[in-house]
Amino acid sequence: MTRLLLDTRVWTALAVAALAALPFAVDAYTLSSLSGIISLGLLAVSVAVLTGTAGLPSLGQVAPYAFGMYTTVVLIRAGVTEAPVLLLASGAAAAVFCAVIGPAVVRTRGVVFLMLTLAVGELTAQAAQQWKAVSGGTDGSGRLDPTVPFWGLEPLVDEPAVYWYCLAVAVVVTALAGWAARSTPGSLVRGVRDNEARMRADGHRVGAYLLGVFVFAGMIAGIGGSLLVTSQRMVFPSDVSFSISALVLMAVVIGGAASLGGALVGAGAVILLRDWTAAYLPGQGPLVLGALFIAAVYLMPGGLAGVLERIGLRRRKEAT
Amino acid sequence: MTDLLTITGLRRDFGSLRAVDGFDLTLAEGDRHALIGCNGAGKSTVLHMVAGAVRPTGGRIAFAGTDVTRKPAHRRSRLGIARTFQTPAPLDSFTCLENLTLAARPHDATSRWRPSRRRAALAERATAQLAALNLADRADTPASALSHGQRRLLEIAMALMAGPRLLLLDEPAAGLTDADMARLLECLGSLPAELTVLLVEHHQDVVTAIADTVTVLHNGRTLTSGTPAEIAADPQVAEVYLGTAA
Repeated sequence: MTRLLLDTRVWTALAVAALAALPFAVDAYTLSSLSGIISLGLLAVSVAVLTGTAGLPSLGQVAPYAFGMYTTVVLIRAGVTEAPVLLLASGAAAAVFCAVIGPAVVRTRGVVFLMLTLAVGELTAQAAQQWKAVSGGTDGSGRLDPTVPFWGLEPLVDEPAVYWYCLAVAVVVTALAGWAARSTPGSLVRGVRDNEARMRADGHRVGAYLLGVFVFAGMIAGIGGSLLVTSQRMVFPSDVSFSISALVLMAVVIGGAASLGGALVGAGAVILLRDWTAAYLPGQGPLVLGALFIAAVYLMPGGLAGVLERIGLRRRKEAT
Repeated sequence: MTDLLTITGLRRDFGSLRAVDGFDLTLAEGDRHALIGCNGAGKSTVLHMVAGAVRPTGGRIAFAGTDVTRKPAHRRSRLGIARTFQTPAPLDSFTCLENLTLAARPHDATSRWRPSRRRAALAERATAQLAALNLADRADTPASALSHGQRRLLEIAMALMAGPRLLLLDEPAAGLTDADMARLLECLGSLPAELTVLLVEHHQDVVTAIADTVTVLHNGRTLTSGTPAEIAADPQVAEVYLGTAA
């Protein structure tokens, strides 16, 4: 088992190294699309934390994503462009938002949770559209200053620099999320996913655990939102629309809800496919994505991560 | 002997159906009490209300001098009420040992600030508990890989990890093979004497082996109560069961 576990780590490291080497192989346009995909990848990780760890599939993670995104916009307009401040403030704003709405949301389960989070996401998108002072309405935020990775360093202007920044943040945040899922609080949340009634009967404060994971997932989404501002330097209310929520939930299903890395890869696959169909099959994008979604649900119940598991590249849960 | 559990005038309506209709019961420390009755008599609903999974429509439940009628399930667990479910409900993605350490966590008194010592102490207790239920060789097996009977025993072990004063068992013998049944009876026979047990069960053998007193529920009300032998000889009970059990 140790060897297989080692294998997983080796494969992850290889994948990260390959991604880090991409700027030497692809053009600037592709790189800038990839930076945007990484941002959505963190949104997918946040949905995967809720779906896989807590058993709460959500359509509303664009809400904390939007909070993180507009926190970064407001800070950059105010002249604060240092990445640590942007990331911390965006994560914190999204977490506070989730802590406020969470107690009402985490009381619900299943379809009701899905619909409630959908409503929260839609309300946030509408609010973003209406609050023109912050969002600029449908015209977007306007061109923003580039992010500075650390005090005293050069601003991130070149596509490779922006890409490496986004990749580094995403890898660190995903690793942290993976570590959290394996920690004791993470086990308690997985216990609730397995059997909520049993956990309550054992004296666990199920509501508090779920609120905790909801806030944590919101923080990850908020950091993802901040990355989108850094990578695009101009954001629109459509960046937090329902189609993004649906796309990301689909990415998580395709990537395998139980795997955070799978969620990242799933987000990449779905968005690349969307952009590819837009170029070669104009107008057929939703149809292709819908067909892919149905195929994923039927053919890969565990997602891409499940396929890897079956062919032995990942540690099996059953193996002892 | 002091009263541990006092139930007075307990009622529960599901829409227009009155599932439990004025149920009274008092249990002292160390009592072994069985609730029997036909399907739909209200036995499981009573158990759910004592555990806090279902809210009573009326009546009062007092546990160890505290009114727990409105307290949520996790608070009752911390007061010392443990339970098992009709369908065994261990946490499937965890090993047997992990199931027990997770179950014990809310009741653990060792310092939160020494996580490694705490983990070791929990694992030690969990290992002992598994051994007590003949599951020691299954410590690292995921709960999902256990047989039905082993899952039942594992769930009882989880309930015991809380160090409860009252154990609620919802049809522990349901679906067990004869061999599993023997292990279950052995396990229940070795429970600490001061532990109070309230049991819902259909199997006459299990009731006779475990319970000191039996209450027969019929249409949400107490029909009669007495020792297992008295109940077995009661013609009223035989009538209710239509000759199937008594």
